[in-house]
Amino acid sequence: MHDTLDRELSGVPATSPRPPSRRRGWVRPILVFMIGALLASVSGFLVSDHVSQDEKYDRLRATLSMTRHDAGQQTARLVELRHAVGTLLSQVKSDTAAWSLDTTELKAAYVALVLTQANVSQQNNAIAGLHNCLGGVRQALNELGINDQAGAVSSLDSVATSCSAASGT
Amino acid sequence: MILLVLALVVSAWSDVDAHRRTRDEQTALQRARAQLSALRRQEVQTTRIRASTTTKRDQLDTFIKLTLAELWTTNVSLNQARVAAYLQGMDINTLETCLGGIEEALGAIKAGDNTQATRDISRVAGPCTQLDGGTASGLVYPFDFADPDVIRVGTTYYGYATNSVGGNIQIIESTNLVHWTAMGSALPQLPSWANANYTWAPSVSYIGGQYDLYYAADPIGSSDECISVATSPSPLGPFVDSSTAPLKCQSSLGGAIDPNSFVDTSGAAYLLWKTGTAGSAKIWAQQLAPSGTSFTAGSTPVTILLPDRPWEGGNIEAPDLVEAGGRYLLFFSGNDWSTANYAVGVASCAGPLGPCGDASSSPILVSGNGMAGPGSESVFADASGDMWMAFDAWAPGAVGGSNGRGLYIRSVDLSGVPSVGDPP
Repeated sequence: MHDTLDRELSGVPATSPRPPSRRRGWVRPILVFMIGALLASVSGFLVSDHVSQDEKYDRLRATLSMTRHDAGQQTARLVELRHAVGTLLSQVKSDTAAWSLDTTELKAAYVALVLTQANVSQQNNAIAGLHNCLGGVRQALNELGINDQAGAVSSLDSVATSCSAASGT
Repeated sequence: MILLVLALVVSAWSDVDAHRRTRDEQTALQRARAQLSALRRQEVQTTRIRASTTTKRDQLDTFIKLTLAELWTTNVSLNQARVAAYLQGMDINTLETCLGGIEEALGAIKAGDNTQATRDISRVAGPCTQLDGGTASGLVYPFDFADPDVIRVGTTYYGYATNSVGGNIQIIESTNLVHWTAMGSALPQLPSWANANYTWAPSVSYIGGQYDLYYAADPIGSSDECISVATSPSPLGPFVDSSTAPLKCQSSLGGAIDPNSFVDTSGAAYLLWKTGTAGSAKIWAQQLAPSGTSFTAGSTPVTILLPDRPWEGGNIEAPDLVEAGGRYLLFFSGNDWSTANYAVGVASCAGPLGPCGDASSSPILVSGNGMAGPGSESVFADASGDMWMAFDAWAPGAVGGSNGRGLYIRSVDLSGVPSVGDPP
């Protein structure tokens, strides 16, 4: 094409010289025009595309900025949340330890209560036995006081079991 | 043209660069979005963790609260149980001490050593009193001490009672009315006409320069109950009864019991007593001779009071005459002595020989406040002139039969209708 163009512009025939025609006179301007038009349109396209890319870039940049801002906020919230979770986990840990201690203490108190109640129950029986024994012995004393030997023996016999049990307390 | 081409090249390069920047920005945006998305996911996850951790913490807090509440309740119960166990331990100690003393007294009596027996029971009087409800009821001597009579000589009080561990007529002494010590038998030897082990309801007065002990006795070979008198220069005894026959019997009325000697402000002495049973009971009075061992010559017994109130159940007995503020007040017991219905009433008399009428339609001392069937009262003054009433009563739940009646003392206000107050 360059060869042809150059030849056309220089007016020198490539292979065989032909006589200049009238038609060749308007081809060149048309070609120049077309090339100019092509270049202009390419240039226009490029400019337009550039502008479009710039707009797109601006939009993207704005979006990216907002997204990064959002991400920053999100990160801050996450840090805050993680801190809160950390605090909570720490509380859970200490609460678990405290609960464990309380439970241990409660178990010990239960055991002590059961033992003490058993002791109370046992002592109740002992007291009842002692009262019973004492009642009989006092009656025997009263009866001996009026020389009622038989009554005294009977009174003592009636509480012999209680007195034997009481002597073991 | 060249410029145009250059401009075009520059424009193309600029466009390409714009595309590159846009691509880079897009890539950065995608990364930022991915990062944001990851952050959001992390936030969701962390929020979930926070929620579950919060729930766990709250549950733990609830468990802790519940555990602490249960621990508190358990500790309260434990403390109560420990206090109960401690008090029981004290009760057991008290019971064992009282029981030990009484068992030793039993052993002493079996060995014929009544003196040691009285020492043994005196030693454990405190614990035994505590077991019988303590001194709040007025109980001051927790052993069998029926039909008491209390007198004061100087700063010492002497109590006499029906035969029991302490002998034919038991005697105890105190300087504060609260703590009493058994002194043994006031009447070691009975007259030859009297059965042993049937001597009761003593009354002691200082008459004619000596202490006279009046008591009910059971004559050998007779179904009657009679009154006799023994004397001693000391209120502690030993009293000696050298009589050959009872002082008063009233056999036709079924016998005489519950003597009460009374000396008025002029020094004249009287004896009051009771005859009969429910439905035929009477309170009698007769003036004594100056020696107190016989009645005034020519005197005759007079009835001064009859049962006339429903609460008396047809029976009145155990008279105790007191002169106070120019009035003669006759205290007496009514109803059945072996039941919780027994109670103390009071009548107002014109003189030692009556006539008497009820000062109150209802008894002034009845069962309750840690005692049952109070009666056999004896009213006396302490050194400062305050009046007291000694009486016997059953422990609630141990009424009648071979149970013993302990000695109780309460203050008594003789103004108006007499009323019984607090223990000493």
